[in-house]
Amino acid sequence: MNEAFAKLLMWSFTAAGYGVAVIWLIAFFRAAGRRDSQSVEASGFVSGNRAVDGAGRVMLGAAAGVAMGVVAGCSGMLTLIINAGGDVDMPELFGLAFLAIPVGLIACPGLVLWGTVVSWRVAERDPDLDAAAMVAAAGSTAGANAVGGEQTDALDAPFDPLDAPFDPPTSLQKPSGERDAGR
Amino acid sequence: MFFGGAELLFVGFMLLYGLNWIGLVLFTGAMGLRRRRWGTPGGGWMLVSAALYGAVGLGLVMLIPLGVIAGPGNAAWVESVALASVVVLIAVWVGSNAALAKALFTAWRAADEAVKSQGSPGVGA
Repeated sequence: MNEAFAKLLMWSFTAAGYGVAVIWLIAFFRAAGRRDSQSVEASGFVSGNRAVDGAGRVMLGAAAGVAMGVVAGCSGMLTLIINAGGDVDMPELFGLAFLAIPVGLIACPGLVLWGTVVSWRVAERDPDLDAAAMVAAAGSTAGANAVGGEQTDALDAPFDPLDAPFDPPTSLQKPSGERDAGR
Repeated sequence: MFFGGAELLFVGFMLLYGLNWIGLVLFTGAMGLRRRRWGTPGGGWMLVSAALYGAVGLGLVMLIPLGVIAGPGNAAWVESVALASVVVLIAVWVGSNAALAKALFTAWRAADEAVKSQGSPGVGA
Protein backbone atom coordinates (compact mmCIF):
# COMPACT_ATOMS: atom_id res chain seq x y z
CA MET A 1 0.00 0.00 0.00
CA ASN A 2 2.71 2.42 1.00
CA GLU A 3 4.76 1.59 -2.05
CA ALA A 4 1.81 2.33 -4.27
CA PHE A 5 1.27 5.69 -2.62
CA ALA A 6 4.93 6.58 -2.90
CA LYS A 7 4.89 5.71 -6.59
CA LEU A 8 1.69 7.73 -7.03
CA LEU A 9 3.41 10.66 -5.32
CA MET A 10 6.33 10.53 -7.71
CA TRP A 11 4.08 10.29 -10.75
CA SER A 12 1.86 13.12 -9.59
CA PHE A 13 4.88 15.30 -8.85
CA THR A 14 6.19 14.64 -12.34
CA ALA A 15 2.85 15.33 -14.00
CA ALA A 16 2.18 18.40 -11.84
CA GLY A 17 5.59 19.87 -12.60
CA TYR A 18 5.22 19.51 -16.32
CA GLY A 19 1.59 20.69 -16.15
CA VAL A 20 2.62 23.87 -14.36
CA ALA A 21 5.42 24.34 -16.89
CA VAL A 22 2.90 24.09 -19.75
CA ILE A 23 0.53 26.59 -18.09
CA TRP A 24 3.28 29.18 -17.73
CA LEU A 25 4.74 28.43 -21.13
CA ILE A 26 1.35 29.35 -22.64
CA ALA A 27 1.21 32.48 -20.49
CA PHE A 28 4.78 33.36 -21.47
CA PHE A 29 4.06 33.16 -25.19
CA ARG A 30 0.80 35.06 -24.84
CA ALA A 31 2.58 37.83 -22.96
CA ALA A 32 5.35 37.86 -25.55
CA GLY A 33 2.73 38.06 -28.28
CA ARG A 34 1.07 41.02 -26.58
CA ARG A 35 4.33 42.88 -26.41
CA ASP A 36 5.33 42.01 -29.92
CA SER A 37 2.07 42.58 -31.77
CA GLN A 38 1.61 46.05 -30.36
CA SER A 39 5.17 47.08 -29.81
CA VAL A 40 6.22 48.96 -32.92
CA GLU A 41 3.99 51.77 -34.09
CA ALA A 42 1.24 51.16 -31.57
CA SER A 43 3.63 51.04 -28.65
CA GLY A 44 2.42 52.35 -25.37
CA PHE A 45 5.29 54.79 -25.25
CA VAL A 46 4.31 56.37 -28.54
CA SER A 47 0.56 56.37 -28.77
CA GLY A 48 -0.83 55.74 -25.32
CA ASN A 49 -2.04 52.22 -26.05
CA ARG A 50 -1.57 50.69 -22.65
CA ALA A 51 -2.71 47.16 -23.47
CA VAL A 52 0.91 46.00 -23.38
CA ASP A 53 1.45 47.34 -19.88
CA GLY A 54 2.60 44.68 -17.48
CA ALA A 55 3.26 42.09 -20.18
CA GLY A 56 7.00 42.20 -19.49
CA ARG A 57 6.45 41.51 -15.81
CA VAL A 58 4.21 38.62 -16.73
CA MET A 59 6.89 37.28 -19.07
CA LEU A 60 9.44 37.30 -16.25
CA GLY A 61 7.02 35.65 -13.85
CA ALA A 62 5.96 33.06 -16.40
CA ALA A 63 9.61 32.25 -17.14
CA ALA A 64 10.16 31.63 -13.43
CA GLY A 65 7.05 29.44 -13.47
CA VAL A 66 8.31 27.41 -16.42
CA ALA A 67 11.68 26.90 -14.73
CA MET A 68 9.96 25.84 -11.52
CA GLY A 69 7.67 23.41 -13.35
CA VAL A 70 10.41 21.87 -15.46
CA VAL A 71 12.69 21.34 -12.46
CA ALA A 72 9.82 19.84 -10.46
CA GLY A 73 8.84 17.55 -13.30
CA CYS A 74 12.42 16.44 -13.94
CA SER A 75 13.08 15.80 -10.27
CA GLY A 76 9.94 13.70 -10.07
CA MET A 77 11.07 11.74 -13.09
CA LEU A 78 14.56 11.30 -11.61
CA THR A 79 13.01 9.96 -8.44
CA LEU A 80 10.99 7.52 -10.49
CA ILE A 81 14.10 6.37 -12.33
CA ILE A 82 16.09 5.98 -9.11
CA ASN A 83 13.19 4.15 -7.50
CA ALA A 84 13.06 1.75 -10.44
CA GLY A 85 16.70 0.87 -9.87
CA GLY A 86 18.23 3.23 -12.37
CA ASP A 87 21.75 4.44 -11.71
CA VAL A 88 21.66 8.24 -11.72
CA ASP A 89 24.93 10.00 -11.11
CA MET A 90 24.69 13.77 -10.94
CA PRO A 91 27.34 16.37 -10.19
CA GLU A 92 27.00 18.08 -6.82
CA LEU A 93 26.53 21.46 -8.43
CA PHE A 94 23.48 20.20 -10.26
CA GLY A 95 21.55 20.52 -7.02
CA LEU A 96 21.56 24.28 -7.54
CA ALA A 97 18.92 23.73 -10.21
CA PHE A 98 16.47 22.90 -7.45
CA LEU A 99 16.68 26.52 -6.34
CA ALA A 100 14.37 27.20 -9.28
CA ILE A 101 11.50 25.76 -7.24
CA PRO A 102 11.55 28.15 -4.24
CA VAL A 103 12.47 31.06 -6.50
CA GLY A 104 9.61 30.20 -8.83
CA LEU A 105 7.16 29.75 -5.96
CA ILE A 106 7.74 33.34 -4.91
CA ALA A 107 8.61 35.10 -8.15
CA CYS A 108 6.14 33.55 -10.56
CA PRO A 109 2.84 34.39 -8.86
CA GLY A 110 4.22 37.62 -7.48
CA LEU A 111 5.18 39.01 -10.88
CA VAL A 112 2.05 37.62 -12.53
CA LEU A 113 -0.09 39.31 -9.88
CA TRP A 114 1.75 42.54 -10.50
CA GLY A 115 1.11 42.29 -14.24
CA THR A 116 -2.55 41.48 -13.64
CA VAL A 117 -2.98 44.53 -11.42
CA VAL A 118 -1.48 46.64 -14.21
CA SER A 119 -4.05 45.18 -16.61
CA TRP A 120 -6.80 46.01 -14.12
CA ARG A 121 -5.62 49.60 -14.07
CA VAL A 122 -5.86 49.67 -17.86
CA ALA A 123 -9.27 48.04 -17.85
CA GLU A 124 -10.69 50.56 -15.41
CA ARG A 125 -10.00 53.43 -17.82
CA ASP A 126 -12.91 52.65 -20.09
CA PRO A 127 -14.05 56.05 -21.30
CA ASP A 128 -17.13 55.12 -23.28
CA LEU A 129 -18.32 52.76 -20.55
CA ASP A 130 -18.56 49.72 -22.71
CA ALA A 131 -17.87 47.74 -19.60
CA ALA A 132 -21.41 48.51 -18.50
CA ALA A 133 -22.18 45.26 -20.27
CA MET A 134 -19.78 43.52 -17.92
CA VAL A 135 -21.59 44.91 -14.90
CA ALA A 136 -24.90 43.85 -16.38
CA ALA A 137 -23.50 40.40 -17.01
CA ALA A 138 -22.36 40.26 -13.40
CA GLY A 139 -25.93 40.80 -12.29
CA SER A 140 -25.56 44.20 -10.70
CA THR A 141 -28.69 46.30 -10.39
CA ALA A 142 -27.00 49.45 -9.17
CA GLY A 143 -25.10 50.19 -12.36
CA ALA A 144 -27.82 52.19 -14.06
CA ASN A 145 -27.54 55.07 -11.62
CA ALA A 146 -23.85 55.64 -11.91
CA VAL A 147 -23.11 54.92 -15.56
CA GLY A 148 -22.61 58.20 -17.35
CA GLY A 149 -20.49 59.99 -14.82
CA GLU A 150 -17.16 61.05 -16.21
CA GLN A 151 -15.14 59.99 -13.21
CA THR A 152 -16.65 56.56 -12.83
CA ASP A 153 -16.44 53.52 -14.97
CA ALA A 154 -18.75 50.60 -14.98
CA LEU A 155 -16.65 48.70 -12.50
CA ASP A 156 -17.28 51.43 -9.97
CA ALA A 157 -20.96 51.49 -10.63
CA PRO A 158 -22.24 49.21 -7.88
CA PHE A 159 -20.42 51.29 -5.28
CA ASP A 160 -20.86 54.76 -6.65
CA PRO A 161 -24.34 55.63 -5.28
CA LEU A 162 -23.10 54.87 -1.78
CA ASP A 163 -19.86 56.74 -2.21
CA ALA A 164 -21.06 59.82 -4.02
CA PRO A 165 -22.02 61.99 -1.02
CA PHE A 166 -18.66 61.45 0.65
CA ASP A 167 -16.46 61.73 -2.39
CA PRO A 168 -15.65 65.18 -3.78
CA PRO A 169 -13.68 64.42 -6.95
CA THR A 170 -14.19 67.71 -8.79
CA SER A 171 -13.11 69.99 -5.99
CA LEU A 172 -9.94 67.96 -5.54
CA GLN A 173 -9.07 67.95 -9.19
CA LYS A 174 -9.67 71.58 -10.11
CA PRO A 175 -7.92 74.63 -8.77
CA SER A 176 -10.24 76.49 -6.44
CA GLY A 177 -10.80 79.39 -8.81
CA GLU A 178 -12.03 77.25 -11.68
CA ARG A 179 -15.12 75.67 -10.26
CA ASP A 180 -18.13 75.22 -12.46
CA ALA A 181 -20.69 77.96 -12.08
CA GLY A 182 -23.42 75.49 -11.31
CA ARG A 183 -21.72 74.07 -8.27
CA MET B 1 12.87 11.68 1.08
CA PHE B 2 9.91 13.30 2.74
CA PHE B 3 10.77 11.95 6.17
CA GLY B 4 14.47 12.69 5.93
CA GLY B 5 16.68 14.78 8.17
CA ALA B 6 16.06 18.20 6.64
CA GLU B 7 12.93 18.97 8.62
CA LEU B 8 14.20 22.31 9.87
CA LEU B 9 14.86 23.61 6.38
CA PHE B 10 11.53 22.20 5.31
CA VAL B 11 9.71 23.92 8.16
CA GLY B 12 11.39 27.24 7.46
CA PHE B 13 10.76 27.06 3.77
CA MET B 14 7.15 26.02 4.13
CA LEU B 15 6.48 28.71 6.71
CA LEU B 16 7.88 31.18 4.23
CA TYR B 17 5.67 29.70 1.57
CA GLY B 18 2.59 29.87 3.76
CA LEU B 19 3.35 33.40 4.86
CA ASN B 20 3.89 34.44 1.27
CA TRP B 21 0.43 33.28 0.37
CA ILE B 22 -1.24 34.68 3.41
CA GLY B 23 0.39 37.93 2.38
CA LEU B 24 -0.88 37.56 -1.15
CA VAL B 25 -4.44 36.92 0.02
CA LEU B 26 -4.28 39.98 2.24
CA PHE B 27 -2.71 42.04 -0.51
CA THR B 28 -5.33 41.08 -3.05
CA GLY B 29 -8.16 41.57 -0.64
CA ALA B 30 -6.89 44.90 0.61
CA MET B 31 -6.35 46.07 -2.93
CA GLY B 32 -9.91 45.10 -3.84
CA LEU B 33 -11.32 46.94 -0.85
CA ARG B 34 -9.12 49.98 -1.31
CA ARG B 35 -9.89 50.36 -4.96
CA ARG B 36 -13.41 48.99 -4.66
CA ARG B 37 -12.57 46.52 -7.32
CA TRP B 38 -14.51 43.43 -6.38
CA GLY B 39 -15.84 43.57 -9.92
CA THR B 40 -12.29 43.51 -11.25
CA PRO B 41 -12.14 41.18 -14.24
CA GLY B 42 -10.47 37.98 -13.11
CA GLY B 43 -10.33 39.15 -9.50
CA GLY B 44 -12.40 36.18 -8.40
CA TRP B 45 -9.99 33.76 -10.03
CA MET B 46 -7.14 35.61 -8.40
CA LEU B 47 -8.71 35.14 -4.99
CA VAL B 48 -9.42 31.48 -5.78
CA SER B 49 -5.78 31.05 -6.72
CA ALA B 50 -4.59 32.78 -3.57
CA ALA B 51 -6.88 30.60 -1.45
CA LEU B 52 -5.64 27.41 -3.12
CA TYR B 53 -2.03 28.47 -2.67
CA GLY B 54 -2.76 29.20 0.96
CA ALA B 55 -4.36 25.77 1.31
CA VAL B 56 -1.27 24.09 -0.15
CA GLY B 57 1.11 26.05 2.04
CA LEU B 58 -0.94 25.44 5.15
CA GLY B 59 -1.45 21.78 4.28
CA LEU B 60 2.27 21.22 3.81
CA VAL B 61 3.07 22.99 7.05
CA MET B 62 0.51 20.87 8.86
CA LEU B 63 1.99 17.71 7.36
CA ILE B 64 5.35 18.37 8.97
CA PRO B 65 4.44 17.04 12.44
CA LEU B 66 2.94 14.04 10.70
CA GLY B 67 6.14 13.57 8.76
CA VAL B 68 8.29 13.94 11.85
CA ILE B 69 6.12 11.53 13.81
CA ALA B 70 6.00 9.04 10.98
CA GLY B 71 9.67 8.25 11.18
CA PRO B 72 11.01 4.76 10.58
CA GLY B 73 9.05 2.16 12.46
CA ASN B 74 5.75 3.99 12.54
CA ALA B 75 2.43 2.70 11.40
CA ALA B 76 2.23 2.23 7.68
CA TRP B 77 -1.16 3.87 7.45
CA VAL B 78 0.25 7.14 8.82
CA GLU B 79 2.74 7.26 6.02
CA SER B 80 0.05 6.34 3.55
CA VAL B 81 -2.10 9.22 4.75
CA ALA B 82 0.83 11.59 4.51
CA LEU B 83 1.74 10.47 1.00
CA ALA B 84 -1.85 10.64 -0.19
CA SER B 85 -2.22 14.12 1.31
CA VAL B 86 0.85 15.31 -0.55
CA VAL B 87 -0.62 13.94 -3.78
CA VAL B 88 -3.80 15.92 -3.15
CA LEU B 89 -1.84 19.06 -2.28
CA ILE B 90 0.20 18.76 -5.46
CA ALA B 91 -3.02 18.61 -7.46
CA VAL B 92 -4.29 21.70 -5.64
CA TRP B 93 -1.01 23.44 -6.44
CA VAL B 94 -1.57 22.85 -10.16
CA GLY B 95 -5.12 24.14 -9.78
CA SER B 96 -3.92 27.32 -8.10
CA ASN B 97 -1.49 27.95 -10.96
CA ALA B 98 -4.27 27.38 -13.47
CA ALA B 99 -6.56 29.79 -11.60
CA LEU B 100 -3.83 32.42 -11.60
CA ALA B 101 -3.35 32.05 -15.35
CA LYS B 102 -7.12 32.26 -15.83
CA ALA B 103 -7.25 35.50 -13.83
CA LEU B 104 -4.41 36.91 -15.91
CA PHE B 105 -6.07 36.05 -19.21
CA THR B 106 -9.40 37.50 -18.06
CA ALA B 107 -7.71 40.74 -17.04
CA TRP B 108 -5.93 40.90 -20.40
CA ARG B 109 -9.22 40.49 -22.27
CA ALA B 110 -10.78 43.30 -20.24
CA ALA B 111 -7.78 45.54 -20.86
CA ASP B 112 -8.06 44.83 -24.59
CA GLU B 113 -11.75 45.76 -24.46
CA ALA B 114 -10.95 48.99 -22.67
CA VAL B 115 -8.22 49.94 -25.14
CA LYS B 116 -10.43 49.01 -28.09
CA SER B 117 -13.28 51.13 -26.74
CA GLN B 118 -11.01 54.15 -26.74
CA GLY B 119 -11.21 54.16 -30.54
CA SER B 120 -7.85 55.28 -31.83
CA PRO B 121 -5.05 54.12 -29.60
CA GLY B 122 -3.88 57.66 -29.03
CA VAL B 123 -6.96 58.75 -27.13
CA GLY B 124 -7.19 58.64 -23.39
CA ALA B 125 -4.96 56.33 -21.40
